[in-house]
Parts: sequence; C-alpha cells; structure tokens
Amino acid sequence: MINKGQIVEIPPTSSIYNDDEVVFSSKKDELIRKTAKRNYGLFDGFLVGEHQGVEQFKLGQRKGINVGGKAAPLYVIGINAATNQLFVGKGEDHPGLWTDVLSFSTDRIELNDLNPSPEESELGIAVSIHSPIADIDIIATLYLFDSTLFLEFEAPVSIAIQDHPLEIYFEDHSASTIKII
Amino acid sequence: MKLKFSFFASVMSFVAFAQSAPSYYSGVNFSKTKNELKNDLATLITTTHTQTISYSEGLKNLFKTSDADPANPSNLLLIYGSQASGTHQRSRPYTGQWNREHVYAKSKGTPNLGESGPGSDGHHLRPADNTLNSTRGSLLFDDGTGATAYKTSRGGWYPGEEWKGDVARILMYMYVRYNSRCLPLNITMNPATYSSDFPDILLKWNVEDPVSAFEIQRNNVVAGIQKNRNPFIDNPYLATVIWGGPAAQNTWPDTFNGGTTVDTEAPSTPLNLVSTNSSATTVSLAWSASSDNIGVAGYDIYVDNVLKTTVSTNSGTVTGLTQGTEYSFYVVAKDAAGNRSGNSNTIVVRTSGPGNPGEAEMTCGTEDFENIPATNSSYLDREWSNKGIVWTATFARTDKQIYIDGDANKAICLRKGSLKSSTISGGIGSLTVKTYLPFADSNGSYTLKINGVVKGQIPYSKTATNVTISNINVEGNIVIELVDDTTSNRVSFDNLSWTCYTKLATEDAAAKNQKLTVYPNPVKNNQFYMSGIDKSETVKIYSLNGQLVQTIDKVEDKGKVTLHKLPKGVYIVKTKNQSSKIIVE
Repeated sequence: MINKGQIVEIPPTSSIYNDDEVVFSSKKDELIRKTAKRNYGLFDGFLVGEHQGVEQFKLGQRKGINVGGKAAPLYVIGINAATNQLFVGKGEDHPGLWTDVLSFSTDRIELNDLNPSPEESELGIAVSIHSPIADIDIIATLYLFDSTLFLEFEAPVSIAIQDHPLEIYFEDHSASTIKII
Repeated sequence: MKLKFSFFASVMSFVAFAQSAPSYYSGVNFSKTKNELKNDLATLITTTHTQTISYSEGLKNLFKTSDADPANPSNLLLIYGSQASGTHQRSRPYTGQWNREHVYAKSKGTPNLGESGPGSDGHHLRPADNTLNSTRGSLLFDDGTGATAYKTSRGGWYPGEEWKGDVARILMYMYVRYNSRCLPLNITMNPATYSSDFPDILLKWNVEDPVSAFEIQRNNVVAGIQKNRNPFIDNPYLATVIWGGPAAQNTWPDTFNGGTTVDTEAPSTPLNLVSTNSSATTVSLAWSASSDNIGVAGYDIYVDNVLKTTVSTNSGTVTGLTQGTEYSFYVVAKDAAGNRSGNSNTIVVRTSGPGNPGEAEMTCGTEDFENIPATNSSYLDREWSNKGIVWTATFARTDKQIYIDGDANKAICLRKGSLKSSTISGGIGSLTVKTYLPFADSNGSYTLKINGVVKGQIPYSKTATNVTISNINVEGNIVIELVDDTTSNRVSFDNLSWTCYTKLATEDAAAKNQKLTVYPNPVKNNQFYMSGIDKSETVKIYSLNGQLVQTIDKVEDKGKVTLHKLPKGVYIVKTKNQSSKIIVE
C-alpha cells in the first residue's frame, strides 16, 4: 500500500546547524546533544511536497525525490519512519548532508571484546573506519556510553555512511574490529 | 502574526480570559469531533451570517476599523506586507493606495467567488498592496521561510511568517462556511496526509503563527456587522479536532482537553550560585536547580552582565577568560516558552595567574596534578604525563590528606624533594603555583629553576596561596623545576601554570607585516573581502554586545566572506589575533 507522507525541506540557515558555544559538563552530554539536534521535525523547515513511502529513500539520496523547480538538487538528509516524514536539504554543501558525530545503538553492533575503562569512555579511543562508500579510511574517536556508541570524526563525513556497514579498526590494535551492520 | 503574540500573551495573563467557549457557541456540541464538529460549526456560522457587506463601499468602511494598525490607527495593516515601505509595505495610511485581496483567489472558487457572497465576506477579504496582490494573482498557497512573501520554487505563494496563520484560519473559515465552493485543496499545495480533504501546510501554519491581537480585533469588528464569527480565530485548536495534525493552541481548555496552552509561568530563580573550580582561563559554576510548571529548558550564564553561554543542567564551565582577572557571574533559568526566571545571586571570581592590565599575557601551559598515579601516603618517586609533558617528582606524597582544595582536587606534596618537567617549548614569562603546608611545619620557600638556573623563590605557609614569579623571561625550550634540598618541610603544590615568552621585537615585526583590512566597509550585499590574515583562518563575527553571530572557516588572505543576513549595524570581525569593526548595510 502506498503511504503518502510529507517532504520537509530544512533551510541551511536553520538554527539546528548553529555552532552554539555551549559548554558541556561531560563528553556524553556534548555527543548526545550534537546527535539529538539532527532529529528533524515538521517545524524545523517547510513543506515542499509529498513522497510515496520513506522506505524508498536512503540518506544522501538525490534521485527520486520529485520536487522540481529548485536552483540546486535536493538530497535526503533525514528520514523519520514513525511519522513517515522525509527531510531534504538543497545543494550538496547543505550542512545537513555532513556531520561530525554519529551515534549507533549497540544492538546494531558486534561489540566483540570492547570494554573501555571509564577513562577511555570519557576521553575516547582513536579508531579508523572503513566504509564501502568512502575511498579512504576515516579517522575518528570512538566513545561508548551506556548502550550507545558515538563516533566523532576528524572531518565532517557524509551522513550516507550510516546507511552502510562500517568496520572500525583500533589504532593501537587493542581490540578486534567492530562491525556496524 | 508572531510579532504581536507576546502582547496577546500578556493580555491573556492580566485579563481574566475566557477559558471556555463563549455563548456564541452554546449550540455546538463540543464532544463531537472531525466532520461532525465541522458540520455543527458550519450550521452556526451560516445561520448567524445575517448581514452582508458590499464589495466596494462596505469593505472600504469595514477595513477602516477592522484592519487598522493597532500601533497606528490611521494606517491599515496590508496582508503579505513585511517591510517599512515599497511593494512589501506592512503598514500604510488608510488614505494611501490599497485594494481588496481575495485570500481564497476568486477564480479558484468552484464556481468563481465573484465580488459578492464569499467574494465580499468580511472575514475573507483583506486590504493589500496593489502590486503584491497582482503578483500573488491566483497562486496556490505554499510553505516557505522568512518574513517576506514570495513566489515559491514550485510556483506557489508564501504569504510571509506574519500572515501565514491568518491565511490558514481564513481558508478554514471559507471551507466551513462555503463548503465545496471553497475547497482548501484547490487553493493550497500538497501534501494532505493528516486529512484527505485538508492541506498539511495550513494545519502547520495554524500552529506556527498563533492568533494575533490584530486577528482578534478583526474577528470582533467583522462579527459586529455580519453577526457570524471565524471560530478558528476564537480557538485554533478546533482545526486540530476537525482535521488532525500537530496540536494548535487551545484557548478553551475548560471546554475540551488537548492542544497547547500558553505557558506564562517563569521558572523559579536559581539559588546558591557558587564557583566549584577555576583556572587561568576557566571558571566552573554550580547552582541549585530551578523548578517550572512545565520544565526548565536551560540556564543562561552571564559574565559581567553579558550572556556568555547556555547550559542544560545546573552546572557549567565558562571558558575563554583572561587570567588574573575578576569576573562577575549570574545565571537565569528559562523554559521552552521563553519565560525567564529572576537573576541568581551574583558572584565574583578571579581567574588565577598574574593580573597585569594592558599586558596581553597568555597562559602557555598548566599542570593540575589530576593525572598523578595512584594515591599514596609514602614519600616516593612519582612519574606521570599530562598535556604532552612528562612530570617527575621525588619524595612525593599523593593521598587526600595533602590536597589543598577538597578531596576531589588532586595535589602533590614534596618533602625535601623536587618536581621537574620534561622539555617544554614556547619559553616562559611568568609562573604561578598554589602552595600550602598540610602539616605542622614551618614557613619557608621552594626554589624555582628554569633549565637548571635559579629564577626565584616560591614561599609557602599554612595559608593556601597562589604565588607568581614574574619576569622569568626565558625563550625557547625550557625545563621547569621546583626544588628544596635544605628543609624537610612537607609542602603541597597545585594549579601550576606559566605564560609563554618570546622577545617582543619579533612580535612587533610580525604584527607589522599583518594588518587586518576589511573592504568594502561599510559592507554591502552581505559580502566583504579581508586581507592581512594567515592562510585558512577562522573568522568570527560578533555583535557589539559580544554575541557570536557567525563563524566562517577557512578564509584565505584577500578572500571573500559571505555573511548571513545580519541586521544592519556595527559588528566586530575577529581573526586568530586581530579584530576590526565593520558596518553592515
């Protein structure tokens, strides 16, 4: 059954993307806030059309959005399956297409023997990440809090990488590879 | 009409406002929902619509009172207007030029609305700028952003953020009053996911742009003539009950539950503000959490009466301060609706380090002793690393008994021992360290050596004291050493910091080579060029009250900088080590 839903364009000037100079009392707070800010809602942008079901879309996708008349192509920057909403941004330099931090719930992950000390949790562990959609491995810092794994990247990465399997290598080879599936 | 909403909110909080449906609606059964409720309202606003208004003279007379600008009653507020003058003028003299805008475009009616009946309904027609009215033409309404009305990229009409809620509630009225002749889907773009017969965009606008005092004024004036009312201005939540979608504001919470109400209750004032820690450039604060009827959304931290940062919990650290300087701090709690508590108590904290006003001293390095290995009460050799420096200490004790600032803040205690750094670059100008005698020993002093050369004496006593040795002035690589080989006094140390040192002459030369220039100034079209900077600098734009308004990364020398749409005025452009004022036009 076709389940029509909203397409909401998020303007690049949205306050979501502001670098607010907030001081965080812990790294965990900072990472949670940085990832939570990207939970887009209807009132963060404006309605530009309708889609025929969010399951047809992937993050970073350009084709098939079917909203015409734009000066630059639209890209999928967020998907909310629960509300059947698709969030899009205009142009490939739209801030919503790029991110410094990604979070993964650990049920997507084969954690192997990763068991960071409290100090490692707070300071992070240097890792490099292999993604099938990136030509070179990506340098990042890994944090593990409760049942959420955070990756803080050295340079912004395309949000599309979270839709693909990732392999995480530890720079000091202290633990075996983690796979995010 | 967002701008006027705060006025509306304050009216609500001071006047005993009706919390239930007024008597006009006494025949409506508000336990009904969806189309049943819509049908009841349709009957009401149709049967009570006992007087019509003529298109030409009638509307002209009506607008004089119904659309008078509350701030200037000899002016009319023009729909879609957002600016002080020109085509997009918002407020214009009644005697000036304007015409009658069919918000539901005439030709989109089935059949055409004409200039009588729905085509001259006082709840529907609005005065508008003639040119803007014809630009809008019969375009369907479409969502957009910003204050200004414009034709959207998919060929719709965005009315501007002050008017989109007005448009939504007018079209709701038209649909309920005239039914299939004024279908909302014939005048608004897709999607329609909440209700198959009603556009999402209007339900969104009804929430985003709450009812304004101006709309209430209009509804009352028109109802005084036509005798019927626009129910969606009286209570926007009716739209949520009928067509679904995000909950609008419910002005009759006593009539039915649900929707949002206006939160006017401010959080309680944060109490007991204290400084929990400080260093040369940071001050940590904590305070008792505030309470709120809905919830505290965050706390603003003010430094010297200027908003510095916002935190979500009842503690925070302010960074980027100047060493050896007194700052005053207070915090304010706020809730999601923007209500603000009173100011907390104000405290004054002095950052550590030598305070030499006018002299740009920067902390070069610090050692807080937090990385010392396991705590131990024996006087042994210790080694640890922190911030890239390896520290070694001899005859050093590390247990809580010798701490200076409480059990959670580590320190180190030497007995006829020494503390020595690995090689550090950057030179040293001055050094500050906190000293304290934790046990019954007599006063004395430790010797400070840089690269093995004695540079000063650091006194200690039973009173914890920050001691600064100035004018050390050694360039290049340094090794810091604190040593006592005469007494057996047990002396605790903490909060070690030092400033960098390079000879001034070279700094002057470097400064001369680089003089920041911004052109054109005043800045036009939100773009300017800057020269006299390093490669790939980060440029920050501040407002005059110190608020960071924009950060631009990777600006090259003689490169172009594009600003956000900033309000006109004076701003400060700051690079790594220079700044300049700009005027934005």
